[in-house]
Amino acid sequence: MSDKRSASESTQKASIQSGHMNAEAILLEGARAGQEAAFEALFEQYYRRIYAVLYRLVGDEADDLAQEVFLKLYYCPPQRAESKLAAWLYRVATNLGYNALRARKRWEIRRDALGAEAHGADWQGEAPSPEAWAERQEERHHVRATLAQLKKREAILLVLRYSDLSYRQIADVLGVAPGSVGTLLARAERAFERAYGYIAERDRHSGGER
Amino acid sequence: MTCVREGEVRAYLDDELPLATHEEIARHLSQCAACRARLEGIERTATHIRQRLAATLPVIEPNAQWGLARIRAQVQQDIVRPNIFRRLSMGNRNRVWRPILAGVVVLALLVGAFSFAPTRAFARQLLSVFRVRRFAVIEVNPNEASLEEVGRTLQEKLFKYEPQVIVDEPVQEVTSIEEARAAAGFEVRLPSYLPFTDTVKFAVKGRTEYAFRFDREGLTTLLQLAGMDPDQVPAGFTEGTVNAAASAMAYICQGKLEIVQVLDPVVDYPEGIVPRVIGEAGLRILGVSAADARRISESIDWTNTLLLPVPTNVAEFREVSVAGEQGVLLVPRQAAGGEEGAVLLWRKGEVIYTIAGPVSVNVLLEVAESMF
Repeated sequence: MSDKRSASESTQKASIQSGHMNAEAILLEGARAGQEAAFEALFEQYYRRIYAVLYRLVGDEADDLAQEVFLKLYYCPPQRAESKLAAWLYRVATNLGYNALRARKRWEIRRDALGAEAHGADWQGEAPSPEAWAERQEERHHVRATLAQLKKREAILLVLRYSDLSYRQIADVLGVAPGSVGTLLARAERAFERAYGYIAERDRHSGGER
Repeated sequence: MTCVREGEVRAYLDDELPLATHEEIARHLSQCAACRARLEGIERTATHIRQRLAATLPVIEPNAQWGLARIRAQVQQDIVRPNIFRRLSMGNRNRVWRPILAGVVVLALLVGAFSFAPTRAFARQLLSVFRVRRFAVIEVNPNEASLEEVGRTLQEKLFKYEPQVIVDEPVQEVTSIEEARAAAGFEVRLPSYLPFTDTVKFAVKGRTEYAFRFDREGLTTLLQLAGMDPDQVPAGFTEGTVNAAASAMAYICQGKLEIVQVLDPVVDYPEGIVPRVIGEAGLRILGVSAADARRISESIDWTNTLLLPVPTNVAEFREVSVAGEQGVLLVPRQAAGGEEGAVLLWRKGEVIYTIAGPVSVNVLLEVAESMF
């Protein structure tokens, strides 16, 4: 079953277990002291991963939110005691992402209720196969709507797990015991399936075909 | 072995158990049909979810270089903008505050700018510039959920035009206080007391001038959101520009202690704008009662007072005396990482001073006093 695990996860895991953290602690110290090169190295190391996690939650807004995460790292880096930078970055990012998703959801509900046709932007872009694109679009919309319905911790847990973080890393982000991740994950997955079914059903009935 | 708990099955699937436990569960599964069925159920769910979440994967790789360039640009800008509001909003984890606080800054400027006694038309030439002489802080207690929407609407309607850069002289790093003074063209102050051991850094920026454009729709929306009569926007008003400028700024930092000195910041007001009303609307939006908003907006001398609305859950404030001048001290309630910190703001002569840093209030005041 270990073949299910992606290569990126194993490398992340390995890097944390080896002496990598020490190098990182030095970089973090440097960034804290205002060394641009240290900050840049950390940025290079984490930007794509943080962006990818944010994208799962908010799509194109990931650009802005990722910038916010790293500005926060620049201005208010984590304290010495909080040595696990990756966990700190993921925590800041997923909090921002989830809050933005929640905010947007309310906004969208309102917009839909008002009957405004603001969906044009979603459908633009170079889509060679409109059907496949529309389907993916729909799925994406459902997934994000579902995540927005879940409790914050559950939504974040799912996004992190399916971004291939290990239980250990997830536990660090959420501040829970690694041994409890399996239980939390199983619960979150059940909640997701239930909410997803409900949302997909609701959309089928209310103007799924536009 | 007894039957396996759900959490363990889930961890087993992800190969996240210690080897011994893993093998023990494998043995149990080979003998227990109920647990096997359970495993299959959980695996099916996991597979579904993996497939569904795959739809949310980024379509294109983000450009890290571009991201870094954006950060650099932002940091450059922050150096020259007293970053008091950034500090406050960074300390607060709620993202909602970012645009709102940015809006509040502009609003505060506007309030001052719009409220220039237009009745005294003869003095317009003379008075058409807002100079910050005093700071007034009021505590507001907005409803975050409704502000979130109000904030978005204001972004769309009131702040819909990008601020236009009129003059934007570059930031220049210099190596000493003498160079800083020469480059800035004013008596940049260096505290004789600094709390840290880090090297002191200096940067200077020449003239900066921005123009903010507002139109009738924006102001009408503002009044509507505040629950006020939108007809208070004068009939003839279609559009106006607010110009905000500072002749020079100096930035000194030691570690995370930052001192910003801004020479003579001024704001030109647009013609034909209702005085005081905008201020009243802003206060009402921020949760001040209708009666209080009217009372405050009528009692403030808008010609020289910069009003800083501080949400009660974001910061505490108090008035302090710095070098014989009245100043304002803001202490964020949720400083990042629980670290100590405060922001101090005052004006002396033609310069507005801001000091911010992760130090105690007393240290901050001591640094401020040692500048004169």
